Amino acid sequence: MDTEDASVNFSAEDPVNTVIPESLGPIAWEFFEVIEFKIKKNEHPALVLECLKYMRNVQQYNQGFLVHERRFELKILPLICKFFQKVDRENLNNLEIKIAETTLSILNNIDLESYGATREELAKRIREFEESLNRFVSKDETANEYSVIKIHLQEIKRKFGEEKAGDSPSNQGDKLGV
Amino acid sequence: MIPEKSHILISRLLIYLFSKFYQENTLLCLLIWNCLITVTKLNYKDAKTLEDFMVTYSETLIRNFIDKLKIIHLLPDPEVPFKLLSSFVCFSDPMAVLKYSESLFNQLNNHFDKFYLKEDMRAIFHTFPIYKLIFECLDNSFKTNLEKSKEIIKTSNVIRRVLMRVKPFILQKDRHLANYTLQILTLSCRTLASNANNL
Repeated sequence: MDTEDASVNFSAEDPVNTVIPESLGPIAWEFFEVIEFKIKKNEHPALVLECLKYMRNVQQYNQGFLVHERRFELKILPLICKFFQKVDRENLNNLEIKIAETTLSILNNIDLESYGATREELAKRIREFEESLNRFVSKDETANEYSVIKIHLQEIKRKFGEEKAGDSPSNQGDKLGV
Repeated sequence: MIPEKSHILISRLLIYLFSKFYQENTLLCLLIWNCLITVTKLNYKDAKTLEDFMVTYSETLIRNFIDKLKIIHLLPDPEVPFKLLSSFVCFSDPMAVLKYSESLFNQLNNHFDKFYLKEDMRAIFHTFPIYKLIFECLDNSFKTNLEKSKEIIKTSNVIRRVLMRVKPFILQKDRHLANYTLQILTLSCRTLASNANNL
């Protein structure tokens, strides 16, 4: 391991490391860029998964964090799309499936009320993400390994379909273009 | 498979040895404690005795070990105490760990800083697993007994100090350390969220 990197990055006396208010939001913000950078480097799926698990946990306790400034939509989701676009195999492995599941679970838990006028853009980005998964998921209708991904995708369609008042159930999901 | 009678005899012997040494030799006691839990957790019908034992002695052992950490640099091989402490944290009374987590973190931080001061990698390998175990313990306590945990942990300052120390390791090439750091970070969420007045 490169020990110098860590030494350069930390000092117990550094005000940056001593004046952060104590609560989840500021600490999550303090770590956000590091997490984003880690996903961008795309080193190993296990680490990408851990980063997403952390985001999901933060979301669980602080609903507004990932929604604020559209952090997840603008900074993390495009990276995850790229991650799946780069997979040059016919099938996803277990870790990659879990990455897709965790991302979809975060998206499913986003409170659309907070999104206001930008929710159409969020839907567009989710559609892009869905497309990056579709070449795996839609290939074999009977494949069980993608069942959770499919359930999540259906839930997302339902979520966006319910936005328009008076939508009939048959029209639900149209907003995602599927 | 150990016969039950032998099991009970071994357990009693270990409890006797523990009570004989627990005020004099912390490390020996940790060793006996870990043996006792390993023996009894396999098949011990009188679980209540064990629970009482853990509640009675956990705090004393943690306090003694915190004192030991202050002079750990004098020990020829600090690896053994940290291994013993790891096993102990897994099997001790979670409320005792919670109560002394701040002192424990402070002493562990001092040891951890040897990495930053002297580039001593051993400090990392000693402390990372224990950080993670304590965070697991905090997370479980806040999950199962929120009000009592909030009474004990009144500030999350100490958690922030640990997180800032481990933060640079997310970017390290060593996958295991990066993984450890991310897990520690994830485990800290519930405690930080429960503790904060303003999320």
